[in-house]
Amino acid sequence: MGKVFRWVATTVVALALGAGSAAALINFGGAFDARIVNGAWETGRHTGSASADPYSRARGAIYGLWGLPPSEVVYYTALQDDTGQPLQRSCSYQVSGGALPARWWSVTLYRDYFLIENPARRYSWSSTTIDVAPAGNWRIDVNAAGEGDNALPMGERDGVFALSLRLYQPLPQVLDNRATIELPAIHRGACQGSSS
Amino acid sequence: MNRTLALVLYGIGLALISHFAIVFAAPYLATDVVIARIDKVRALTPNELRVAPPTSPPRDLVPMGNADTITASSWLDLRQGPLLFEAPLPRRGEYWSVSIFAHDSDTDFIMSDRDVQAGEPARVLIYGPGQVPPIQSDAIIARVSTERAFLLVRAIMRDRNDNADVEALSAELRQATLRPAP
Repeated sequence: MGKVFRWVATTVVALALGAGSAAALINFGGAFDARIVNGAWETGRHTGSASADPYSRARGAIYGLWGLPPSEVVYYTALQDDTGQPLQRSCSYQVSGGALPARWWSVTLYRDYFLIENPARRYSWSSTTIDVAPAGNWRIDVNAAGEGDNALPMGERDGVFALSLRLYQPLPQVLDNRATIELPAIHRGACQGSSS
Repeated sequence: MNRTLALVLYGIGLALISHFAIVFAAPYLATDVVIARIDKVRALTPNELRVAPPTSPPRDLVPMGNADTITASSWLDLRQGPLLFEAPLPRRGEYWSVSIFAHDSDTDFIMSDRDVQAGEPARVLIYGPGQVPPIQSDAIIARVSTERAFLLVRAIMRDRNDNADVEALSAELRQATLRPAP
């Protein structure tokens, strides 16, 4: 009986360790050089490419299935603001930038990786929809109520918030400079229950 | 002592096998989960192109889907032979592409409006594993690494809240065809 128990217990522990370590590494995002960080934004080095390591491919399939390779689209994601704080529904944010080096671009807001229902049916702003100042700069206001200029509402419940910046057919210099090109700033404004 | 060693080796081996099985199966499973979701909503027929309305919550089926695209898509079954995809380029829209994703989610093929001559339709012959494409063809050849694959046409809308423009772009996407290769 003790022998059988040891084998069963070993099987259970081994399966749990295998599954747990796989989930952890997939969520981490793969090899140590698989992610490129640019301020609050990060992007996969080999998104949508068969040359990605198995963990990055698994992560890409789970969180961004059917993404295109960087030569066609560069996908940046931000789960945090410029100070490294997670995006929270209790805070307001200003995402601001200027012309971006791509044929077309968009900034989309997600909660728990899906679009956020809102009466204005506004889920993103793009190079064709955003109001641009005469100087060429623009600003997106992100807050729970969807108030302000070029607003993106965070909706009525909490979750994991993420901003996605898509650069379609990026200019040639983008691919080698994904860590350094100038990307929109994500500035945190007032937070409920805080003076920051 | 030998029994303990055997137990430890068994545990390590099983942990490694389950680890890599999950990592390598994840892209297939992710594809199958999303295909099942789409099938539930739109009743997928293999090798049939369907134009979907712009994705909207709470009906968005793909994590981090693009809110600004209209898509036409098909769940390909290449066991039935090669396929021919043909589509006139939309006159509207900011960007157009057709891509084919293998069952393991790899991007096997991508072609955008910039790869199509002005005034010409996009023509893509799609071949599965073991199928031999013709030596000469006026169509672009797409080689797909798995028998099941997902074809996705993306067209970016100027503004998804401009209903007339969105409907006109959808109508243009509906002109695309997918049929057995001649």
